Amino acid sequence: VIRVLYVDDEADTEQFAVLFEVLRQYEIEAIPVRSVEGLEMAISRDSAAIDCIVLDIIMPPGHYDFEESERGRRTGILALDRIRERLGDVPVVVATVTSRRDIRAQATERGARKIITKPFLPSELAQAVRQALGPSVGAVNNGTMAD
Amino acid sequence: MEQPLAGRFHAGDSLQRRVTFLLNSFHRQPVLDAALQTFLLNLLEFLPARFASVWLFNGLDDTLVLRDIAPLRLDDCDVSLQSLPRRVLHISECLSGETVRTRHYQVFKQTLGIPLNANAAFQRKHALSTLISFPIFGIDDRVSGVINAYTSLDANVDSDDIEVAACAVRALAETLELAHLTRERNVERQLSAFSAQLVAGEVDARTAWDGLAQQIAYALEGEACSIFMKKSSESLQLIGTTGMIGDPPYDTVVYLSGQGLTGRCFQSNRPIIYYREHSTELTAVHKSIHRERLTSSTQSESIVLVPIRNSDGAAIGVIRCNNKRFTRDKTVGRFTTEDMNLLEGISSFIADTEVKEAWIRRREKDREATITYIQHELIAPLQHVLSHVESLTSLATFEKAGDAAMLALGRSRLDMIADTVKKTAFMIRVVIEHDKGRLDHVEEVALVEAAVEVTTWLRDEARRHSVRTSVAADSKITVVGDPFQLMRLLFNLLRNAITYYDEIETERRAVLRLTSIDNTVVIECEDNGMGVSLDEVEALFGKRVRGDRAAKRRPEGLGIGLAACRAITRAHGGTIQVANIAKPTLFRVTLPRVCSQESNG
Repeated sequence: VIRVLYVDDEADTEQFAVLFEVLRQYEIEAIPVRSVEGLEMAISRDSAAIDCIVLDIIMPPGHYDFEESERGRRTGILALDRIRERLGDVPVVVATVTSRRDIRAQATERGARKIITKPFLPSELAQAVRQALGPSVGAVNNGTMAD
Repeated sequence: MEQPLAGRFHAGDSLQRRVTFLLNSFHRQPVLDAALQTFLLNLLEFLPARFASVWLFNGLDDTLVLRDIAPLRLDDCDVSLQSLPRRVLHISECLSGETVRTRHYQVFKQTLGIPLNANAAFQRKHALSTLISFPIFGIDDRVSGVINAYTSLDANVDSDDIEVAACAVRALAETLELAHLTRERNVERQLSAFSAQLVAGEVDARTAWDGLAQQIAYALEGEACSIFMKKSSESLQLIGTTGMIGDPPYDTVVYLSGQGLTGRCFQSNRPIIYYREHSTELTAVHKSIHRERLTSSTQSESIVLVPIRNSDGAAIGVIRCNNKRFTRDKTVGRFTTEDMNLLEGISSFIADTEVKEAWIRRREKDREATITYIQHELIAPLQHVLSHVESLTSLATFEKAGDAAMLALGRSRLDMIADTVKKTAFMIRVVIEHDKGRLDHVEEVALVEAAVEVTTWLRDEARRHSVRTSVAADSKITVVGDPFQLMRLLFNLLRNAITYYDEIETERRAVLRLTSIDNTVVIECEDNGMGVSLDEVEALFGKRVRGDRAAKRRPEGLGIGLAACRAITRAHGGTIQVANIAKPTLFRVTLPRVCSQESNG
């Protein structure tokens, strides 16, 4: 089972529970994390048990005035820096709605291995996670659903 | 035997050393040809600081004499002015200030063309001086003037000759720089170069501003107006370049003088007026500079330069007006007070560039926030729907029910939901990014699969109009490009084919045909729909222009479909054409297999 920290400001909602339920079919155990702070806590608790991190870039939403959205955009990018500091090169998949090249480039520069555009099918995310983890994992279980 | 001069210049020699050396060589006539040639070659790779000319006005015979050429630091010029005992005119003041009258131009003309009542040597020097330094003369004239004067120097050179030659050489240096800058015509590059100088402390702020205006002026050659703003004390930003200000797209226009006339404008608190009398000769000279751009209707010109100041009173630019927009008292050939007030008003408005900049920044952020809002509010729910869809499939609800027919139906409906969601997300992006012709990220795109997906998305629409859609491809075809934009290209082509069907046609069809030849991929969209008329073909590719019949058929459309197709095609380095206008209508897109990124500005 691949253990994934899923960082999204709505990660603890019922809606996400459905996504996580489907991901389990692909042998991916997603742990919801709502914020960068939560991510740090999760990392400090048991960093060795984390195989991959799925990260939303634009957090937190809901505040759409300029300064907040600026800060919000940086939050996910900031999280990438923290992840590098704390976990070295743990694979990170960025899941985002934005198509902006600069933001995508920033994410890639900071070590995101895959960028997946929302909305996606859980199977597509599962595949992205496996690709981020590298060929060995992908070959063993190439995104096929487990019974 | 003189040593060849070519060997005496070295790549690292300063301009000063080169000039000094050349001046010394004027005493050695036989080697001058080689000297000049070498000097010119060297100068080209070592463009100097700007020079200004100082002129001597002789009231007795109404002549202007080139007195000196100094580096264009106004401080230096001022020193020169003060040190001269007689009435001296700085060239920029001379040309742009109120002291200039028609007779001076007459003087210039006479000096250049017909001999005055003076001895030949005197005339020659004056002609040379005028020719080489008067900015309105073309580069060719200047260079040939220098060469002529130079070759006319005889063995009995006197100190005056040397002085003239020295001036000639210095002026030539200026000319070459002018030529260089004019060739470049890259304003932003000039700006960044100047910003760098400013940051590096190589020039002081005052000089930088003055120099900036000149740099841009030369680069633009008076053909365009520029709006620029000071971003901070250390950087300058060009925010727009327009045509002349007859019909400006901006509220206001900052003009940077076209012919290096702005030097004094920054120093002066008053508007500077420069009249150019109507005259065939001057028009001819002007034409020699502006060539085909000057029409007979612009023979009589008036130019107004108004300094632009920011809230601190520092000059940040110049407004120039030289068209017929402002009322002019024809008998006097002078702008009215109202005109000047208007120009001053514009000037003070522009002065508030900082406020303007903040406003622009705020709008940009506002736009981004809106996009973020749309993306989050609309795409995030779709994300959840997709999760639900797959969960239903994986839960195998229908399998447990054991009803094969229901199972098939359920699955097909789930497929439809998934398609709808993906199409909706796609459409949201189209709305958000409808103006963008650029490539966001580039990857290998399986084109046939993309075409099939697009067909799926348009399935309902095709069914509604009884149009049979299909994808024809000879093999697996891939293109390295922006996946979203390529989808959009296919989508727009096919949707047009479906939407604009022919009502009397019983077998309606729309085909996306994909072929690949070597490193080129051809996408053809063929339909037997209503077609396009010839005069609509070109217009179709313009934004928000639709054929008459199309507009009636689908009034709610934005009319940007084909314009977007063209933008996307171009961004990928390809071409789009209407290969056949009716029965069948055929749009053909040719794309390189790997998009050329340089076309993606």
